Amino acid sequence: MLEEIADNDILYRRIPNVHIYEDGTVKSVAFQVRGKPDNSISVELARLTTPQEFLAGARNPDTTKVGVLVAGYARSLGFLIRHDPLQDNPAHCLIEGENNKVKCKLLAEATTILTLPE
Amino acid sequence: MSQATLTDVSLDPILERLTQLTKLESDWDSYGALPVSPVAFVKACQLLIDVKYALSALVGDRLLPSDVAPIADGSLQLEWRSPHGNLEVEIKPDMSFSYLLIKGEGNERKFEEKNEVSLSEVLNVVSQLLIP
Repeated sequence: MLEEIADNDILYRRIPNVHIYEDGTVKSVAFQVRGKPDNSISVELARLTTPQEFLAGARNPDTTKVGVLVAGYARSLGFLIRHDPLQDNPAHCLIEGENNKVKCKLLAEATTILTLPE
Repeated sequence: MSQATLTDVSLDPILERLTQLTKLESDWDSYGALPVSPVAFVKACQLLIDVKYALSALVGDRLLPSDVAPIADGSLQLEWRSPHGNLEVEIKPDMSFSYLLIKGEGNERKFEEKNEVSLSEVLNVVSQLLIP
């Protein structure tokens, strides 16, 4: 069943350490894929997963962090957000729409790195 | 305070960081990223050398990028920060450049985004940022 994504829903995106500044903020390139700003950004709906589960799906969990983004902010930049469940990943969602470097920068600035308990 | 000369500014630390990024394996971002392109790596090194030759006598070690990062398609990004703004330059595997220049702060920020720009345009915008 498809979930409605509310403005206050939390979305997770995997952020590799090489896309995190020393002060813990996120680089704009975290939202670039396939050589250009990504028009279809993979994220997961926080209420359908856990940070630990989400991170376990990373190729290199030891060098990856959980980035947290509020759905309403992405919408405020003109993106659409839809639930796109996959067979092995029911929390999967897509942030879709025309993207550019400026929007990548704004998305990155709005993304917070989640600190997980040891 | 004496002005830095060409030989004072070492690119070694930043080249070492770029070299480390070339060791990333496929899917390093968990979303299917490609390894860093050797072409982008060489082009980034060349850009740094050109920036050094053009600006070291004027700005000293401020010519060194504040950050480097890989991009999922094999591109590299070099970033410069100054009191006058931030500049993100992307070096693509096809040897083209693009950039995002951010000036000002808060709600007054101005963004300038350009794609498919030449090396001389990149050198020009780096100069504009570091020598306002």
